Order: sequence, then structure tokens, then C-alpha cells
Amino acid sequence: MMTLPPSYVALKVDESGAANVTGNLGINFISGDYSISAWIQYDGFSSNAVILERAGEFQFRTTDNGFSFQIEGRPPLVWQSAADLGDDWINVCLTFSSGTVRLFVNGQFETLVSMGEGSTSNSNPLVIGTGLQGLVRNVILYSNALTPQQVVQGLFGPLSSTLIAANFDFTQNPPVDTGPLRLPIALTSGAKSVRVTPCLRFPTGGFAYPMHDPDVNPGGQSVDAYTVQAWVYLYAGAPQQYVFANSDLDSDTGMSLSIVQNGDSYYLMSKRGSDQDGASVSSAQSIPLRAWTNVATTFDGLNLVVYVNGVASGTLNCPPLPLMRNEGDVVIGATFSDTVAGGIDTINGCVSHVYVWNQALSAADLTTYMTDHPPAGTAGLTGNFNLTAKPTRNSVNGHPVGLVGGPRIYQQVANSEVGAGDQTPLAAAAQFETSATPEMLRRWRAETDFAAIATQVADGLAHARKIDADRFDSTEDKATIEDAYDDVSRRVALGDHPDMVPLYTRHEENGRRYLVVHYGDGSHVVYEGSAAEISECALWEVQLLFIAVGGVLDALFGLKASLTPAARGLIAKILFSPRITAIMARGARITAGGIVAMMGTIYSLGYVKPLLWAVVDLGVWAIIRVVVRWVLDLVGVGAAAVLASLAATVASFIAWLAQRPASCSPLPTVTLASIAFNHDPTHASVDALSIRKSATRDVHIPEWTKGQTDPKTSPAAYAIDKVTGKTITIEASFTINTTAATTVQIQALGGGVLGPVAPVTVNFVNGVSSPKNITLNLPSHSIATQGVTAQDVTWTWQYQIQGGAWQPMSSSSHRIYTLLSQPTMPWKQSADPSETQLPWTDALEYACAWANGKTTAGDALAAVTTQVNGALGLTYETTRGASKYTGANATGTQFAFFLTKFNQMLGGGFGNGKKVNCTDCATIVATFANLVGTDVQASIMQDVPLGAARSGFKCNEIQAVGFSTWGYPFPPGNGFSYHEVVWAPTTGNRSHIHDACLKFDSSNDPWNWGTGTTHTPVLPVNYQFTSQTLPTPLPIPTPFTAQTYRERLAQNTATGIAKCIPQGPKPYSQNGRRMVE
Amino acid sequence: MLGEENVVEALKESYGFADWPRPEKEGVIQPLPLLPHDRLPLPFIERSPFYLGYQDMFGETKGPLVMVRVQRHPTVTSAQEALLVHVARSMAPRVPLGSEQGLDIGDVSITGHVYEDRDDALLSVTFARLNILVDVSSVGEQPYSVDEFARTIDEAIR
Repeated sequence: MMTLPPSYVALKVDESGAANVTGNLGINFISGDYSISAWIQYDGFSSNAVILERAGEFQFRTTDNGFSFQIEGRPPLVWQSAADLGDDWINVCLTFSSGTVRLFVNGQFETLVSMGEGSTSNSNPLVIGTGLQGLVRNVILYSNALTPQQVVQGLFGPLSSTLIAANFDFTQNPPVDTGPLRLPIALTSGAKSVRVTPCLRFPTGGFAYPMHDPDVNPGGQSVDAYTVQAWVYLYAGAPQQYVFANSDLDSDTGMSLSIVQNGDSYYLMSKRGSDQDGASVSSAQSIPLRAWTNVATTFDGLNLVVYVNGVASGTLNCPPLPLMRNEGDVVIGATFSDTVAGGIDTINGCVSHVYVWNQALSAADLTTYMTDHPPAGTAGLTGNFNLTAKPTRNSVNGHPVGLVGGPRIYQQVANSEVGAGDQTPLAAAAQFETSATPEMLRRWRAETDFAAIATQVADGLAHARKIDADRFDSTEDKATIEDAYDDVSRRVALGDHPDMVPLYTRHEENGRRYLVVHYGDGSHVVYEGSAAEISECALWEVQLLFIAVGGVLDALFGLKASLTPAARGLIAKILFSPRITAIMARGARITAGGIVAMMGTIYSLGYVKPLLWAVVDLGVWAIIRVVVRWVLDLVGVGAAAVLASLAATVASFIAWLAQRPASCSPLPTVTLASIAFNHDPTHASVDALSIRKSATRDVHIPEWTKGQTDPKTSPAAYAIDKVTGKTITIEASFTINTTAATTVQIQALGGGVLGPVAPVTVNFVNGVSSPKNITLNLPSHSIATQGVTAQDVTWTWQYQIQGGAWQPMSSSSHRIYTLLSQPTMPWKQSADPSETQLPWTDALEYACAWANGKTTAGDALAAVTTQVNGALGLTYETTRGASKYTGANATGTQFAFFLTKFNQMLGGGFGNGKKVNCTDCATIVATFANLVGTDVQASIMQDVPLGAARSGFKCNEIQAVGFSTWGYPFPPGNGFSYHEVVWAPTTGNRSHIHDACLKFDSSNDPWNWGTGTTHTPVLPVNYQFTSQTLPTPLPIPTPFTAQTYRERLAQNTATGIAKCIPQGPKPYSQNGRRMVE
Repeated sequence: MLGEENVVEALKESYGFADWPRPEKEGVIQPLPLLPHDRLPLPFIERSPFYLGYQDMFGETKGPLVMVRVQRHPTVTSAQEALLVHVARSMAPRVPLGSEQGLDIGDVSITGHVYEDRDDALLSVTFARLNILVDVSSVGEQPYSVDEFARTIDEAIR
């Protein structure tokens, strides 16, 4: 069978078709006990269609907005359903007992009617589906009247086989009765098995638009690697139909993936950039209409490749895109027109999944992901757009996807019948392989002190019983809750018993950690991993949330969940949510209501679908949608029956809490959520400077959020002259595990150069600090005494409630840069985080190290100059004296310093190599020195004004950067056409120079290079250009003792000193402060 | 050119710009070419954007390192003028033409300064072929002659 997107098999029935079953089921449909459960989907108006009937005996049918049931000779029962019976899959279940009918839709009870029993039966065939004009997945007949809980559990798979009289399974071809009688199923004309693929169906002009998802940015960085892969199904051809696009390609950046027409055929086209300066490659393999095709494109920095069904079908070697775009702006099913998403060249068809990676996948990987979902948290995956169920989101980060112009979740039905033997299992438990042997499981179970657990749980259960019962006014509801908790308490007290509640234990053997759940009928491993892979404490926290999630799935849906590696990563991510933390922090005070709230929060964060995919192997989209609907019900209803069903989960949760490892600190009740250093980007007088990481990455504000541990991910920079004598402020937000209005004292100890955070009173409303961001003072900072530094600081946060002892909250670590003054050009200050000329932390790391401890601008400049000349391994470019790190910027409008490349070289990479000229050296010094607060410019000396034809000037022998021997530059010319150095404060004869490009002679006769003369090399740091009268009479007599720049660089002649004249900064260089890129 | 027009005009005089070969293809604009990585003598490292084109790095850690910058100019003449911009931005008082050193690469080329005691004249070659300008330079700690690089590239885009 060819590879298809995730899909399933069902029975399609038109107006006249049906499935007929002949045989005696042993069920008395007119007066016995039985249940009928069916999964059906309407495809349009399906009034009065048959769900199941036997002519002359009974009929179970659909009506306009509900269902009808009639036993021959009795009045028909007709009712309107409260459920949405649109074009989605629905489960309808009817139970019959002693003449009483109960109806459930999607597991929820709808009505109860006593209609009495019939008297006429026969042996006519059972008929399924006549007139449905839709799909049927299965019809199950049970030999009893199911309880409400059994109805719910039956949604996700057949109940105990002893209850089943027949299971007419249409998820395989040919359909079969998997019940005990194996009755044959005959399809009439108009009924056939079909393959159904959930997808997003695009109408003309419609498209899907991920909402502010900047990290999904393939092709945004000019040469960045990427992969875009999608399943598509075209209904009709068109000159061009876009599957995916990132930004308006006419803006010379971004990429697209489309289907283009060539003659009568259609081909996949991957494109980068505009028609004029971009590149595109088309597939050799054509794309069929009305068939599912997996399309993909990869770019590895050089080669653009298109794949059709996992096979490479076209390759093009591509140049970089002319322009970059730091944030993605993607659209699915359309492209951009005049920078506006959508509207043109929309796809006429369906898309089921779109994956976007920031790396080029191999053909093998693409083939894997044709059928398998990339696990949550997979490195490099930036976009995982599952378009098969609502709500549509990017599963990587939960960002929503807007559906514009009418796309709808759709069940695409293949035209052709499926092949014999095709099948799709209804649902299976997630497979989890473990190295734990049955003997280990038995031993662990025997070692568990269940009696002790019962004691630990008792108090918490009593508390939860009261709180959850108090949520309801009616006596009946209260009793439901109390009865449930009483039952759970009884079962907990039973210890190791067939009726016990699920209890979890953790074990470590042979370097591996195991989490085990003990049910009444046995124990099994829900997680296993290397002890080195995850800490005991982190695993305990993950498991705590997993118990809540797994408990809900088990209690409400009868699904057994496993803590797969993917689920573990996802839960670890969810735990960082302040709202989840606040609920979890209730600890042993958890209630069923708290667990319901937790599920609602997980839903609102967009994690329900990926979490369900990770913990249970459902495999059928329609069922997922029902689960999501139930989660919604959980969020909105919180009915007594729901809470009651979670009592056992509360017990499991509290029991696990009691097993907190010694390495875990107590769960805090007040949580630090975020810290903003640059909380007022328009000013820097009492807060931090506006900074970014590099040309392409900004620093997000707040700079620190819960979960960050690497101080470099939480950077802040301060200008000493701005904050000296002032109290610096930061802003922080907090959460607390109560919704009641509360007042708490908060402080932080430590803080290094920033000092401790003075105690402050924080009010909480609904569990969040009010106002959300609290201004905190740092009155004891010591920034003024530091000079230039880069250092990590750590705060230990504490809280105090009602005058009690200070309680530990958490710690936060940050990278703090202290600068002499606000960085000067090329560096800028702006409230716009996308300003690329904000100071880069990638450069601050080096600048602060080079000028470490310097307290004056002069000392800092000297230190930077010395470092550039002698500590970076730079050598002079002797062939032409050509610059390798400066040149025209990306648009050719001004000169730029290629700082990204230079930083790459400093970090041990290749960069542009280590060859430099004077322009490079002057630019490096000016850029890094100005970053720590000097204000200097790179400027030129030559014989004529800038822009005029020049002849240069003759030089003495020098030691060029990277050389330790004397020599004339560029013999036999023995001079420079120009020379560029750092001048302070401005260019002029009496100004001072810092030149990292060369050393010259400091002796009393710098012009005599005859045999036997002695010369002493010196780096020109803070050398006055000249102190001679102007114009200077030549030759200057010796001995010459003045330590001035011009005389020691240029020859003592009319073609030397006389031609070495300050001319100012190079045009288009921002006055000698080249922009960085 | 960023404020360098007068310097380039003066260089045209001294470099005999008027007599440089003007291929009959003048007016035919070549697309930005792709380097023949499989035929170049050093392994490719990475590609980066560069004004009017791109920059490719070749070489090995601790070994030779070669930087190639490829630009697409709107005309043959503007590509040759851009060649002189390289001269204008050099600290060397004079940069030799390739033809002065017997180098037959591109329609016109410049090389590096000749040191009588060092054989590093071909550590850099910049040439214009039609409207394409290619700058090849050894930028590693080990000297590496780039003439084979430049010649292979020129043959590929000729």
C-alpha cells in the first residue's frame, strides 16, 4: 500500500446503500437488555437515516437534529440532541433495559424515556446506514444496558468481550464482525469501504495564517538551512497554487513551496527570493490531482532540493538571498501580495500536516515524517502545524493558526475503494518498551508499603473531599462527591488489593530510573530512562503532572497513558507555566477541582493535542477531537460526576507528593515568574540599556522567565555614568498558589554588583502579583565602583507571609555588563528591539573582557587597542593591504563592519580569517571601545583630501600587526596609499591616536634604518599626531625625542611627513563609526 | 562606489582602463554564477551573503583558508570599475594588474603586491569576467596560492 498521510478506513454510505447482517445475535431487541453504540459522520443533510434497524422489529435512526428509536407496535421516541451534529464524527449510544431507553451522545447522557417493551420480532437482516449519506466507523451491540461510565469508556475501544454481542467493524476492508458470532456483513451497491484523511480544506481565497510565530522563519537569514514538508491533495489544477510561503518573496527574502502548472501536468516548485535575484527549482516528478502527495523542500545553505513522496526530484545550487528577515511571517495555502498574506494563488485542495525545520532533513528523515509525527521538543523543529483537528495551532509552541476565508477541518474521502486487507485499528494503548522484568515489578510491588501511603494520603483526601463537595449546592451533588472520596479512601486503605487506586512508585536499578504504576490487577512501567538523563527531582515533578493528566484520561476515557520521552519533554515544558506552577504548588492540598483547572490550563496553553499524542496512541483524529471536546467540557463544566471520577487521581497525586525526593526543595507557594531589567526601553537612567544578542537575535524582555538557568540567556547592561548615585530598578512578576487576595513580602539576597533586592510588599489577585509587574529597587548596587566588567550574578529570592520566617522561593542568575557610558555610534539606543545597532551581547563579551576593570575611557581605549594588536592572532594583509572585515553593507548604501564574521573568528570559527588591514584594525578598536563607553572614530591620513586622486606617503620601517620584524610597507613603494587609525576625540593634527595595526620605532632617530642602528618597537597608544609647527620644516633634526605619531610613522622627507595629513573619517562610514552587520 | 568616484577615475588613467578588453558580450548580463565546488582544491566550509552576491569560504582547520567573494554587477563596465574600487581601498600604493605578472584570468584582473624575498604574490586575485567580479584571497595562517582557485572559477563562469 502506498504511503499516505495519517488516515483511516470507514464505510461510506450513499442514499441507497447499506450494510446488511443476517443471523441471530441472541439479543432480544424488543424486551431484553442491550446497548447499541455507533460512530457515524454526516456528510450533509441526513434526516431519517438508519443507524441500525430490523424491518418489522425496531429502528434506530437519525432525525433532523437528533435521533429516533421505535419498537414495532410502540409509539416512536423522537428527541432533539443537545450535541452539535454537524459534519464531525459523533458517537451515539442507546441503552435499553426493561422498556427504558437512555441515549448518550459523545458519552454524555441526553435523555431517558420509558417506552415499554414490544411483542413482535423476526429474523430479517439487520440494516446499517441506509440514507446516511455519510460515514460509519463501527456499530457495536452489547448484551447489557451499559452504565454511563461504560458508555464513556466505550468511546475509545470495545468494552470487555464478554459484554459484546457483535462488533460490526468498518475500519477494515472488507468490514467484519469481530464479535463472538463473526456474522457476515454484506454491502449493497451504494456502500463501500473508503479511506478518509482528516485535513484542512481550502476554499478559493482561503488560507491558514499562523499568528505571530516569528521563529518559523525558513529562508529568513539569507543562507539558513531549512526544511518544509507537507501532505497536499489537489482537487483541480491552476497555474500556481501555494502550499507554504514565508514573507513576500518580492522583498528579496523568504521562501515558498508551490504547485505549478506546465502543460497539462503539475510540478512542485521550491523558490527562494524574488524572480530577479532569487532561485527556484521544480520537481521532475509530476504532482497528481486528486491524490495525496507528500511534498517537501530542503535547503542546506547551498543546495535547494525538492522531494515528492520522500524522493529527491530536483536540485539547484543557490546563491544566498539578498536580504534577511529576522522574524518569520508564514502563510499556509497561499502566498503574499504586496507584503500582505493570502488572497492570491491559493491552493484548491487540502493540506493535512506541515512541518518546518531550521535544518535540512535527509531523504530518510523526510520519509520517516511522512507517517510519524516529529516528537514534541525535537531539535530543529520550529513549526508543527497539525491541520487535522481544531483548534489549529503550531504544536511546537502552542501559537494559534488563524483560518482566513473559510478553510475548515474536513474528512477527505478518497475516490477509490480501499484495497482488501486495509485496516485502521480503533485505538491501541501506547507502546512502551521497558527493561524491567516481571520479577522486578513483583519485587518493587512487594517492597512498597501501601499501608504507609494510605496514612500519608488520608489527611489530603479529607481536605479535598470537603473542598470539592463545597463547590456544589445540591445535596445530590455533594453526596456524589463525598461518596466518591469515601470510596477512594476505602480503596486506598485496602493496600495491595484488586480494588486499590492506582499508586505510583519510583525505583532505580543499574543506572536506570523506573516509574511504576500499581493497579489492582498488576504493575507496569510508565517511564524508564537513564539516571543521567534526568534528575530524580525533575522526574518527580514531571511525574506529578503526568499523574494528573493520566488520571483524567483513565478516569474519564478509560485510556492508559505512558510517560513516553516525548511526553516527558512536553510536561517539563508545561511545568514552566506560572499558572500550572500555582496549581501544582497546592501540594497535598490538591483537589479534583484543581486537577480540572490544571487540564483547562493545559488546554489554554495549547498543549492538549501534543500531550495526548505523546501519552496515548490513539491514531484516529476524530477521537482526538472528542477528547479535546471533553477537555473543553472539563474546563467549562466541572460537574459533580466529573470531579467525583477524579477522586482516585487526587489520591494518586497526594501519594506521589509524599514520595518527594530529598533532593527536591519544597514546592514554593510563591513563585518568581519573570524579571525585566530593561523595563523602560526609552530610558536608561534607572534601568538597563537596550541590548540584543547579535545581528539576528534580540534579547527578549523580560530578560528572565521561570525555567532559565543559563545566566547568558538573561543579560543586562548598565552605563556607569547613568546610574551612579541612583537607585536602579527592575520589574518582576510573581504567582502564588491561591486565588484569594494576599499580601506577601518579597526580597532577594546576593545579586553581586546589583546588590540585594530590598524587601517589598506584593499584593496578589487571582494568584498573580498586582500590578503584574512589580518595580523593585536595587539601592545597594555597586556598579559605580566596578569599571568595565562582565559578570554573572545570582539572586536568592525569598518571601515572607504575615510576619513569618523568610521562605526560600527560587534563585535567578543573570549576565551583567557594566560599561563606562552609554555605548556610542555605531551603537544605538532604541525602544525598537529589532534595531540591529543595539549593543550586541556577543560583542560585549569580548569588549568587557578586553577592557576589564578599566574605569576611564582612555584606559579602556588603550586596553582594547593593545588586545587587538597583540592578543587576537591578527596578521597584516601584506599583498594589498586590503580589508577583510569591512565593506559595503548589504544594500550597498554605506560601509559596514562585518562584526558577525569577526565574532565568529574570535569564537574559534573561521570568520573571514585573521588577515586584516588598517581599516579593519581601526574599525575593530572603535567599535569595541565605543561599546564600553568611549567615543572615538576611525579616520584617515593621506596626502590629499578624501575622494581626490592620491599618491600616498612614504613610511619608516614598521612592525605590522602579527609581525615582529621591521620592514617597509609594500616595497619598493615603501609607503601607504592611506592609513586609517582611531582618533580621539576627533581627527586633527593635535589629536591623539590609537593604532592597533602597527608598531613603530620609539628611539631618538626613527628615520635612520641603516645597518647597525637600534630601534625599539612601540604600539601607538594615545600618541599625539604631531607636536611640530605646521607646516613643518623638513628634514627634522635628530636626536628626535618627541613621542608623536606622524614623525615616527612617516619618512623625514617631502614625500613622507609632508604628505601624511589628517583628512577625517571616510565618507559613508557614519563619521568613522561603521555600522555593524 | 561610496564616495570613491574621483579616486577610481584617476585610477582609470593610471591603469589604462580605456584599453582593457571589452568582450563582445558587453550588454549581456550574466546571472550570479555558482562556484564549481566539486572542482575547487579545498573543501567548502560555508556560504554567507555579501553585497551583490555571496561569499564562500574554503579550507581546513589549522590549514589553508581561502575566501571567495562573487558579485554580479549590472554591466561589464561597472564590474571593471568595481575592480578598481578594490585598488582604491587598498593600503598598497600600487596594486599590480594580473597581466603584469603573466596572469591570464578574467577579462581583466589584479593580483597582490610582489615581495622579492617572499613568494606570496598570488595570495590574492581579483578578476572581472563579463559583469561578474570575483575576489579570491588567502586569509588563513598558512600562505596558500590562489591562482588555481581563480582559474577554475573563471573557467566555470566564462
